[in-house]
Amino acid sequence: MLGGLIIALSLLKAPIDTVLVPAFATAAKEETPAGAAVTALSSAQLRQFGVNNPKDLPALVPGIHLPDYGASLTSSIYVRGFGSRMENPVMGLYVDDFPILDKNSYDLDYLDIASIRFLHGPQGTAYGRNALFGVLSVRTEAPAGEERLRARLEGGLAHHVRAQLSWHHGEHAFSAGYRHARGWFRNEYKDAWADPYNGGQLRWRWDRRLSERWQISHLLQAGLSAEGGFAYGLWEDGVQQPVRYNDEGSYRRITVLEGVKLHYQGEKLQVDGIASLQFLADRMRMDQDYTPSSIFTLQQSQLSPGATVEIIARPSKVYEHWKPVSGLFAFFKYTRMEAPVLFKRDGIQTLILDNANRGIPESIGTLDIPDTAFPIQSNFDIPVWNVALYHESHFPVGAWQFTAGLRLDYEGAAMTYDCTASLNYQLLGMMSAPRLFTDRYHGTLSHGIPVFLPKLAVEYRGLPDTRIYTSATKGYRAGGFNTQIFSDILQNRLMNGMMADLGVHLDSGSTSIGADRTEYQPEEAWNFELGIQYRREGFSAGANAFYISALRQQLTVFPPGMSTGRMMTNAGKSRSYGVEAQLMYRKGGFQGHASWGWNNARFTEYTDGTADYAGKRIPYSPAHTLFVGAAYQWSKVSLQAHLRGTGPIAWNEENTRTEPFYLTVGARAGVTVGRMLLYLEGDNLSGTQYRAFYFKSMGKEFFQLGKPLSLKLGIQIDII
Amino acid sequence: MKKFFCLISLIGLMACQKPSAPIDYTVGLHYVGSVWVEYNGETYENKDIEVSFTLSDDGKSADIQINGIRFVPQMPVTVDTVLPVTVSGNGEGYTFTAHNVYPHSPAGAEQNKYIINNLSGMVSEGMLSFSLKFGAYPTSFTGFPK
Repeated sequence: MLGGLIIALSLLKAPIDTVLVPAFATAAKEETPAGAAVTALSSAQLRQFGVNNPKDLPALVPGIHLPDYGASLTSSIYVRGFGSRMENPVMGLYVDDFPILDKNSYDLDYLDIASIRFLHGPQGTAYGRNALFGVLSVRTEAPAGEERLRARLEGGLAHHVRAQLSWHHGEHAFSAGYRHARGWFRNEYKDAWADPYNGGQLRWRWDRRLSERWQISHLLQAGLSAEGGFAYGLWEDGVQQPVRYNDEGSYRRITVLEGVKLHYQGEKLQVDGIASLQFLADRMRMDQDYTPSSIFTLQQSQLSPGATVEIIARPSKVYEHWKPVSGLFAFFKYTRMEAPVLFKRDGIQTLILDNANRGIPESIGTLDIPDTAFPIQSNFDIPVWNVALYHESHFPVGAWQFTAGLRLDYEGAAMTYDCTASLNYQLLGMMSAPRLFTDRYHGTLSHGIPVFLPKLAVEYRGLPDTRIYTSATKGYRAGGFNTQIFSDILQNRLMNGMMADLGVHLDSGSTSIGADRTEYQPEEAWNFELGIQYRREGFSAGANAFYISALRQQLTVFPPGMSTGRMMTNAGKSRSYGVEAQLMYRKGGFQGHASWGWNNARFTEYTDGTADYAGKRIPYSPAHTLFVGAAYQWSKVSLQAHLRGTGPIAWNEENTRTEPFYLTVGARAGVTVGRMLLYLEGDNLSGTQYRAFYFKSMGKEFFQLGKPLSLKLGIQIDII
Repeated sequence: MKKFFCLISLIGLMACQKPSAPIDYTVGLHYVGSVWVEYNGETYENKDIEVSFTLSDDGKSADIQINGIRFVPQMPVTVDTVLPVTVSGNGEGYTFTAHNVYPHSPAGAEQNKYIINNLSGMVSEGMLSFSLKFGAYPTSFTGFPK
């Protein structure tokens, strides 16, 4: 209905006296938040350094790490030493001021990016949910106001093909893109590529000044992709084995974002209204044991519609000593998830029968499950809602600016779970024939949690072109439910249930958590920041130091009685301190960019149920990120080269597996011929071998290797 | 007035002397006592074991359910088991027997490892007792209403 209204509005002819605006006169939220470091990348920089997707950003933005592994679903994000593989991210993502609700939609090839800004540190007061250690703000190109048609075609190693078409027509900007890749890693068991990709995106943006006081901007962004993934290989006796698993690893996704922004410029008040409808449908299939054995598989399908609305108000009049901004934010998201786990013959034997028969005395008998496979069906309905009220006031006094802000945020969520399992079992020696056993586990959980997010900042602008700032800010990452642990709960219930059905009670009966233990609370963090930024025409430099104390940290633990599962719980406390520095220089055709981030992020309290990790580095997040790049543009020729550094990374809580610091080299050369740009670009030209991901499953260790050398040859034509 | 109280007392006495209502054995009567199991020449006592006796509707058979029995002290499990028996008797009490039959779990799963032989016993309102050979284990129980 909203889409229909927008289409109808957009088809109305613009009044002659209105003036087309290329973008909102002011960003809905302050582009440089008080007391925070900002990394701003223009479209030219993004093009030079080959950024099409948030996963291309690491190191370019100091302190963030978005490892490229698994599939598009696995958008693990690490900032300043914090992050997690599962559940909610530690960073908020906004596209043209619309918050992206689902982390599964973070990894997307964005079309026609105009700029990217990363706001470092907790931005909880203005951005609320999940802006725990930063906010990534992607802005797409506004309609050019004239006819423009641009095509881009790119081909490369691993059968990489990218095709994009961008058409600006008056108040409209349309883009379409398609990308194909054969994949980089071969599944030797299936003799097929493990990680092929096929995906397409569409974007339609429409901006109009409706009157002297009103502006409207609309964005429709949709993506469709089908891919492989999970190119995990066994690490055995210190040797990396190739990808070898027998069941399907795939991910399919549809994402839609439909958003409208209205800006009202009154005499006393200016108001931004930002509303969006979002939809995600995806399906993941995974060989959960990543081996040639038929142990167990997971399929996870989600249907998740959501809606957001935000109203931001500030006075039109510029007061000398007071600049307030207030906002109201709300969202609702509903997720229907189906996550059946299928235990296959080898899994029935190794995960269930071997475990069970260790606890059953021989005098009683031996448990057997004659089924070739049995499913544990888990269905979840998860509505989540949030409402928040926030205010920030800036008080300029001479060269000083003092800022105080507070956000009152309330998030509610419920989960209805309905899990069933059914199998035939036989206690050999006791029973003459198999017997059907069925278990159903269902119920509802809910919680509502208020969070208060204050902010205090002081800035000094007494030196020319310089900004010195300090701040104390708080952010939070939403709580939630551990859906993935339910198959383990059902496994335990099945074991206990089968024995109870037999009338046998083991003295060492297996313990198991119940659904009530699957909830986890929000994680909160205080960040203390001190920084300096210098900016002059063509030159900017900045450095900042931070100290973070994370409370109720969301960490993965081994719950009691679980054989394979891990779950998120508020298990510990951590701290991180570090430094981030950036340097950008532009003169004539030369452009230089350098950034470095360092953190020392460690657990201060963390016991996962089996060991105490206090003092250990938080895993998966690199201690250093480094980027050094330079580009030169002659009249028709451009050259660019860069170096990216990452690491060391601790791969586990014990810090016994680590990835050393590694460097990769990238470069790009372009030639302009008339309306045509020909370019050749390469990533990991150094052929550096590094590991992008590590995990342990059923006592075995796995790594995914980083992508090898890649080369792409492209052509871009400005047709109109 | 004295005659009135005497009359009331007499009626009360007569009421007390009236025979009690017959016990309904079909609803399941619960007894608690010790189960004695002989193993390797020694006798092992399972204390405070709950045993129920449930008569079938036709009065010809019954289920005796034993909860939490352990045949030897070292056994790392306890077993709930139901012994199907053949019944004779009347509402005052019953005797029962079983020979060469298999027990099953309360949920109905077979427990064929423990074949029952030479089971005999009796149940009344005040006591349940029986003895049997439970697989390889000579076993007996005497219990009183819970």
